Amino acid sequence: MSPPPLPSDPNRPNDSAELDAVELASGRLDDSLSPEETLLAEKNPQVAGLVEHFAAVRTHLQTPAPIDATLREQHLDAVLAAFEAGAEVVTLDAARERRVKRWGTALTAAAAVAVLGAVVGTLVTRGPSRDVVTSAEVSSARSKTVESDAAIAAVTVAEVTAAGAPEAAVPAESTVDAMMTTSADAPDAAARQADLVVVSDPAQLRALATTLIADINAGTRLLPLNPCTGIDGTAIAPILINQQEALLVVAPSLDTPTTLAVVVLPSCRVESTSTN
Amino acid sequence: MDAVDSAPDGDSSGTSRPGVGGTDDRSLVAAAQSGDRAALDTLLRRHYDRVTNICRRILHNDADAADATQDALIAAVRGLGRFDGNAAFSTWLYRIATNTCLDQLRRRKRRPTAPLEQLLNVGGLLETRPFDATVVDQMAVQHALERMPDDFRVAVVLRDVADLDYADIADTLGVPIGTVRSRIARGRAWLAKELGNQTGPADRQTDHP
Repeated sequence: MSPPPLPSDPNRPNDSAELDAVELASGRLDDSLSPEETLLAEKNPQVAGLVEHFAAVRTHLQTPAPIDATLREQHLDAVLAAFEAGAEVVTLDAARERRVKRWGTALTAAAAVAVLGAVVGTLVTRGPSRDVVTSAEVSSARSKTVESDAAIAAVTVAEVTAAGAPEAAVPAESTVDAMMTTSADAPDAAARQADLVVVSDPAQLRALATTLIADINAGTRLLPLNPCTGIDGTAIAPILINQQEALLVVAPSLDTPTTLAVVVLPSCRVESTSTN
Repeated sequence: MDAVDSAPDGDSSGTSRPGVGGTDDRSLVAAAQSGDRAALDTLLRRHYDRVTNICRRILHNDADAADATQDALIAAVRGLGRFDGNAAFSTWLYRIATNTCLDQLRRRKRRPTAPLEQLLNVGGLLETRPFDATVVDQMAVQHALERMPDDFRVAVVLRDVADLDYADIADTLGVPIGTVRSRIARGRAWLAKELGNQTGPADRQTDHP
């Protein structure tokens, strides 16, 4: 299935022509080309060979490595045990009826997160000209914070997770979405257009983080795109803080969110008050 | 190319249960939402292998993939009551698995990957030898996947392993459909080129005397 050579077109670099063929072949494999693109693909002698290449790649990817049957049974037993013992399954109607109760839990969880070390207290109040700390500095400071608050953080986070996850199996409409439409004193038009959460005070940020973590862990909310590849943490929401676009990041993970950080975009600078 | 609301390929159930083994996902979900443990067991067995394969391809580490698989299934069970059937259950489940894997990726120390410029330069693909399925083994596939930037690897895995359509992938990753299309095409080109270079040296000598 050797593909034919590249066409000779002095007005078009080979790489560009090849890239076109690649995209056409990929789209053809997925049956996603428009009628016009299909005509182009049929006229391009390279495409057929590439489609064969890509189909072979797909076959390889779909071929699963052997799965340990014992491990599979262990996993399924654990999941089913969770289903029976604690992972309460809540229907939509039942969930809606429990909305009021959920708000109480959310407030409790927000209070718990508020005691976690190191976030944004002065970040919000200092304004855009505040000092910027490096990622390494934040990591160092975060380690110190985690050490000093290890005991309380361990207990608190466990409580947040245990209390928040089952209750979070509820439509997000009454939680974060509500905050996005009603939060802040006066979210500006640009922020609304960008669909960012406007954060105006630390308490709001902590409550937002708590709700988002619960929703993400419950599978009701997707993680946002994080363009900052060097950040050691999980971005949970794009926000607007002090007229700056940023990402709200939890670290070290969603399971153990001991630290919140604000990562300013597009520079990907990590800003935090953990050293204060 | 939409995910179908029935058992995917690679059904691992093995033991088909009377009454529920041949039932479609939608019925099983409804039964599980009502507390039917057997229905949930069948549902999970039906999708276990696919979820595991998705996690292996994204995380390229069996231990991490095993953890992510279990985490994803537990998250799915916890959120099952909220599944409204608007999408296929498989689509919903694979999105949860993907999110779990993405979180896992961000959690662990990042490994060096190929520079983006290298990925974007697909030049030479057409001169690459076609690869033989009997020569390229699973290790080679995993090795090639490991060196891809996360964004491209995840897009290809969601399309070719999870069988999600472009719109679902775009929704899952929070990027435009055009970006998804481009990432999948470039990712496939990368893999085809890498796997084409996995053929034996004797063959290469024959081709390039």
